[in-house]
Amino acid sequence: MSVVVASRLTKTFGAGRGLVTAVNDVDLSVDAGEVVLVVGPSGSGKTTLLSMLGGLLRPTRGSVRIAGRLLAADPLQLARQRLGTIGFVFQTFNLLQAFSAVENVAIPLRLMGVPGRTARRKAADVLEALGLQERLTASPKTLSGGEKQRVSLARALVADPLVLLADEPTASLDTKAGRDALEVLSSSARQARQACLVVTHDARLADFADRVLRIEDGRIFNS
Amino acid sequence: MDRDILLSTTRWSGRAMTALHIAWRNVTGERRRWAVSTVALGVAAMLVIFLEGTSRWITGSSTAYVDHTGSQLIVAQRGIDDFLFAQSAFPEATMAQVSHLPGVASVDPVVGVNGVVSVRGTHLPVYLVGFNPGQSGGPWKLEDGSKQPHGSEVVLDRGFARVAGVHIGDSLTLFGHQLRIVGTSAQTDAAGDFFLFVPLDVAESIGGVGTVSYGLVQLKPGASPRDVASQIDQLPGVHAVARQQVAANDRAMITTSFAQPVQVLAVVGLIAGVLIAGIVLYTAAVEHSRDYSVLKAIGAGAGVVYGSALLQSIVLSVFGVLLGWGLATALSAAFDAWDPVVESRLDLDLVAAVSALIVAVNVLAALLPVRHVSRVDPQEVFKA
Repeated sequence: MSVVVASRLTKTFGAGRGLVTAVNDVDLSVDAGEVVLVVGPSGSGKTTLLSMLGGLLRPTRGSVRIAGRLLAADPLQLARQRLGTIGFVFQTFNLLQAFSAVENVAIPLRLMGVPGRTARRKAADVLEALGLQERLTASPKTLSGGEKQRVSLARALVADPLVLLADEPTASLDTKAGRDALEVLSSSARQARQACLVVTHDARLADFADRVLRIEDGRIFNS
Repeated sequence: MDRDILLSTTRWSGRAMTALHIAWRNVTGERRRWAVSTVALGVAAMLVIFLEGTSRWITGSSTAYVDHTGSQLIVAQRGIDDFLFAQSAFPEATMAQVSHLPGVASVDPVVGVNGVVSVRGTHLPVYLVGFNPGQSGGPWKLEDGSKQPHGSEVVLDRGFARVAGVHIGDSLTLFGHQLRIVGTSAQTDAAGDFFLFVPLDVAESIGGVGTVSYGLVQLKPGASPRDVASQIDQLPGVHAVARQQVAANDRAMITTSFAQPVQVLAVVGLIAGVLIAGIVLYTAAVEHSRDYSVLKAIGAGAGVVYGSALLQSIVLSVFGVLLGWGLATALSAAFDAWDPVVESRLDLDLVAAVSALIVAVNVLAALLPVRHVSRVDPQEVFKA
């Protein structure tokens, strides 16, 4: 069953002669437990596509459904819909510098109203599962790139979301750390039956995916 | 239904705690900047609190003498409704006439002489009060010594004594009279006008023999102040003014002349505090833009995002105010110990009101960073 369904998704920027079509009439679906890799060069529309799928950017045309529900138009409702439903993994990790590793991971749970102690316990469990049991209280400043990405992964996974969206998750890591991160992401998605979509410029990551799509000039092609 | 309410409350409190947690960490995350910001805001708060306390002292001290006379009515030269800086004079014989009026229990004469005294090269404004020892009109709170001067004795305001460098037992020449100091009084510095107390005859010899300045009237129980006042008004050259009216007149004059300039300085301090808080909070908001975009992307609602920005302002303000209160208290104690000429009355109600004002104004200053945060695009999370 498809968890993510995008229909005729289009995004344009500017107007008139300056009109740029970043994503052009894209139909896309990702099933529960499926890992889909979207590969394309810089400027091909990968991040714009991911932004629209995650409800961070409103499409010019088309629609996105997550678990059968259209993404809300109202920003407040949309934020609530994202919370706990979609887990994001970013190229630059985006950890809150003033928070420790376990506090960073606990943020989605705290935003969902989970009491602090419970949230931290669950966050610690996820970090331990990713091999970071010694780094729970470490500041992001003291973590290596690979550790930061694992903390970022833990934050995406902690609320058991239906969808995992990853933007160039290996771009800031060395080859081994990058493959380790994608291994964690893909195995978690399959195990927890999460729909996982990874956008990357690195086609060598294809062996982690169930399906690879190519994106060029905002259009999606089967690879 | 009850469970839904409970869950909703839990979610709300969870989000509020998260907002507070984010605010706390953003403010205190960088200790050096946190310390500098708190100290800067604390100094501004100190200025505002201290100056407001000084303004209260100026206003309160201006009526302290009149408030402590205990009289219901004050007899003064007709046309004079004030005490401080006014020069009332009428024949001493009028006092006997007042004392025989129905409803009057007693009337105590007071001679007041405004002047400037030069001590150790400093010219100090003084208000010399002549009174009959044992009657009203003398000092009401002593720092040391006796409050009853006899013969050629004087009780000095403690601030005056400190500036003059004199002590109990020393002699001092005032208005051409050699007087021996027998006591130092407290609370008798009326906004920098020092009260000095001498026996009535000494003051009369300076102000004019056979004349007094004011009569402090005590009424018999049940007597109507209005009726007694109207009888006093019939006497030649004098009239009666309610003690509260004299105090109100003095207060209004002092407020216009002295307290208002201090209030202006306090407002300048407040503006400085707001600017400091605004700059600190705006800088923090700009530096944490990425954090806010991450929170928005994860799904944080407006309450958490804007709430944390506002709470940062409150957290910083509360710490700044607490530090400012402490510094103002220390400054007030330092003035009291080294130079008891200027005071700052840091009453709890005043500190609470000023602190609430500072926090409220700083929350307004947080609107700029909140506006910045509201414009942070969650898509920023994808920027490398």
